[in-house]
Amino acid sequence: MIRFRILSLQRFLPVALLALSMIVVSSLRSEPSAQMLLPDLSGKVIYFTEDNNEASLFDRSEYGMSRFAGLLQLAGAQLFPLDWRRDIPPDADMVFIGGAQDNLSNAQVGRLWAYLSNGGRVLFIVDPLAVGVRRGIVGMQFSDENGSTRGLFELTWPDMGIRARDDVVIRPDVGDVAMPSELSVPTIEEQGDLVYFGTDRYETSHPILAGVENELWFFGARSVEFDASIQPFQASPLVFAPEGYYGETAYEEYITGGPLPFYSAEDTNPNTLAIAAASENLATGARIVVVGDREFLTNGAGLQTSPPNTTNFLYPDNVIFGLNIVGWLLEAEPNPEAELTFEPPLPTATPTPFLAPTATPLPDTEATEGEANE
Amino acid sequence: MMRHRKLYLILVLMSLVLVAPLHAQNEEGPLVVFIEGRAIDSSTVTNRGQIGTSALADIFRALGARVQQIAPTDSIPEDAQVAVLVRPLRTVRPAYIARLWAHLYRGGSVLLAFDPENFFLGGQNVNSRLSRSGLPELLRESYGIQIGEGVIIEPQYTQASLSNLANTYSLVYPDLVPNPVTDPLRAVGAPIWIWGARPVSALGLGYDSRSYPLLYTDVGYVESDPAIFPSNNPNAPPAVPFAFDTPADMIGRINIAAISENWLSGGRVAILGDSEMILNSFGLLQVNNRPVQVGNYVFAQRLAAWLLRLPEEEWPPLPREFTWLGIDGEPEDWLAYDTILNVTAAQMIGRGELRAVMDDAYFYAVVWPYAATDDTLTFLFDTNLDREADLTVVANATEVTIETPEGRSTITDAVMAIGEVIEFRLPRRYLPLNARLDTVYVGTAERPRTGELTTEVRTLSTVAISPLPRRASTLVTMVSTERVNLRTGPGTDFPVRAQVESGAVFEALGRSADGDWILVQNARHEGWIAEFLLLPNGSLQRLPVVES
Repeated sequence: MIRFRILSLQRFLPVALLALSMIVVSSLRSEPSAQMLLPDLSGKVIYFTEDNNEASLFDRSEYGMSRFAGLLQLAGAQLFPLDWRRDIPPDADMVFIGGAQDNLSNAQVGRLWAYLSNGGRVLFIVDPLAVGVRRGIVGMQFSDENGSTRGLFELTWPDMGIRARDDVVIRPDVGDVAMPSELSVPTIEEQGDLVYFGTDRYETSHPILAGVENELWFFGARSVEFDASIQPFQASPLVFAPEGYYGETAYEEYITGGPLPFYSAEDTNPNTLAIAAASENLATGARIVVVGDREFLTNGAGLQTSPPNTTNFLYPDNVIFGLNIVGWLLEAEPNPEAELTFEPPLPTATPTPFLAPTATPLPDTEATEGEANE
Repeated sequence: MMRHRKLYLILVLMSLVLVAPLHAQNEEGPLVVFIEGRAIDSSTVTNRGQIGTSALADIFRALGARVQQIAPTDSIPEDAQVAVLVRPLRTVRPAYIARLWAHLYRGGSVLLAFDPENFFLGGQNVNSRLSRSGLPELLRESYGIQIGEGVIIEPQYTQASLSNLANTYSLVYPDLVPNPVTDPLRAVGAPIWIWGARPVSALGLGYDSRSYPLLYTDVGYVESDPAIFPSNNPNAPPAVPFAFDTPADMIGRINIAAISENWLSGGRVAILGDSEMILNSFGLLQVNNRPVQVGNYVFAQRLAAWLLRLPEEEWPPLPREFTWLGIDGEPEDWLAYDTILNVTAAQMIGRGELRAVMDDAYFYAVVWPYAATDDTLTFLFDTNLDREADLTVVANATEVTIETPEGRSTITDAVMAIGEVIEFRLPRRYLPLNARLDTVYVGTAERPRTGELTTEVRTLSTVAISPLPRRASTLVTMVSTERVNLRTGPGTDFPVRAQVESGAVFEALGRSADGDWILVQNARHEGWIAEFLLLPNGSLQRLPVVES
């Protein structure tokens, strides 16, 4: 009997080993390859801005958006930096503002609005307010001391029903987060525990979300307000924060002084908190998409790959989402001859850097409150 | 009854037929929108009072335009040709500028008139905060126009005169750079009246655009400190004295208006550094349907035509009731006048051709010399009609002198220009109504009189554009409900030389020792007027004391 069993093991051992290896390999390759058709951007001219501490399309570091730029070019688009000293050229099919951290000047707002209100297309990525290296808030502010909207959103709100808020979307339960003492500014990684999130709460009916099936990842976001009522424009939410997340408006105080409870009079209500929204003005044909986090498209965060510098995106749905945004803005059809395959990420010897919000190194000067250009 | 009804019906139908085309024409005209509202507290087209822009709107309408009002928060309609914003007193938000810029981006035209920041208007201070709106950067980069901060202070200004808008009037002139808006005004040296202006510079030919300066002054300096103005606010600090401080303040040739066109977008902008120059009871004041400041009126007309992009041949003609003779050495403008004195060479001493004419303020003459001369003209007038010359005027490029039996003196407000022809202009206060031109010498070579000219110079029905000389001076405006006596001396016991109408403007030359009488002069008159009847544009106490 025992001899039979040993003979059985000897015969079946190779098969068992093969089965075991398949199990191991399949556990590594837990997702099948994803695919998308690139939008046909041939002949399209995209101007991108560089003057206000944006994530640069030339930047190949983890802080830049060079990968996204490459994808756009693969899709056929021509990319040019925008010179703010002139009006936006008439050949501009789209303007891309990749997460400016300094306020747009009033003159820049004037030029941008002139373009947008005359049928222009804008992808406006805005980073949330964040605590600087020294105490103080950095980032674009869209409301003045009276709480009135200012800047570009003073115009897009009445004409396109869309604007970003001056808040930071954070998780509600912070009991397990080690908060620093009042004497130190929390590190970027410590902040990341509060503000990173993946979300599968998105508006599947909108064409921008076509092909998005998994979580979209954000690395510190501000909320986006939209007006979906009956208006001469159509404003639609695109992506929502995970349930329970709310918009903290006293972020600096929160992060340096300890957790604050949700304050309904000032903080943004957690119900259906939009992180990205799109709008089209039916009279002028203008289109705008506002996304409240720039790291969702940066090389080291949303477009992060593993191994590094490959096409094995950690978050392929971020890629799909980003390209769909441009495709919608430019009314581009999918190009059947340009297929992008997303290979699943692989483990590597060195951990892939996982960046915190405000990935661009923060300025080394005291951040000042209020509009720097007024 | 039936017949009356039919007649009534016919009349109604006829009126509809006649009125409909007019109405349709209005609806088809270019659209001009005036940006107004409480948010910016600007001048309004519905205001026919002092600070309204109804007169400016009427100018646009006369050019065939339709006029509408919109709020600064409204988008400028796509079919609007021109957007106008005059005299915003409250914050001009960047969002308002963005909407204006969208209009320019699609090739529209814009007329903006901004007063100096913190300028005191009596009831309030100007608080447009223009420097924070983004507009200065946009205009500089895309149109080559620089909107400056500060106010132009003339030598006669005082803190007291800055406290009253009515006392801040002064004159500016068309810039030397040719442009279609000011060309005819420059030719005749027509002044434009302003009431406190900020500098507006044209940076010339540049990337995507070319800008032109329109108006300038070289009197005074630009005071950059806004704290020089008083305030109605009891909590505001007192006004500080103004004084020229380098390098903050600017001096020299200062422009206060400019135009530009962007070749990329096709947009046109006109920027004025003073709003009163185009307001109803200031620059566009009319009396008996005639503009009081004709330079301002023509300027506004031509600016409106340029903004509407009308072909130049469709621009409104120059007002016929004024004399458009420029003293510039060019003879073309004389062709419009049917003058006397197409004098033959036999009658002209010095061999030349002479034409001459007068209006209410000046004697004008032009000479086509047949040969090279030393460009000296000598006029002999017969002022007492005894057929003998009793007044000699000698004019050359550097000096004009007058000789009478009483003596010889220099005339500082006579003008001579030497070019293709020799042109000359003499104030009429030296010439009575029926003065005759006796002889004219061309050149200084001694020549005997070969005959009597003794010709009555024709007096035109037109009036001079301005009776004031082009130089720095304290100006006074006579303000009264009745005509006022101009006397030969500082007192009521001096004989009356003339009577002047309310609104007459003079140069103030001096004062009596007690300051109660002011010696005034313009092209028509010279004499003394009681001080309390005059509205000065500065301090009269600084005038020199003049013995009568």
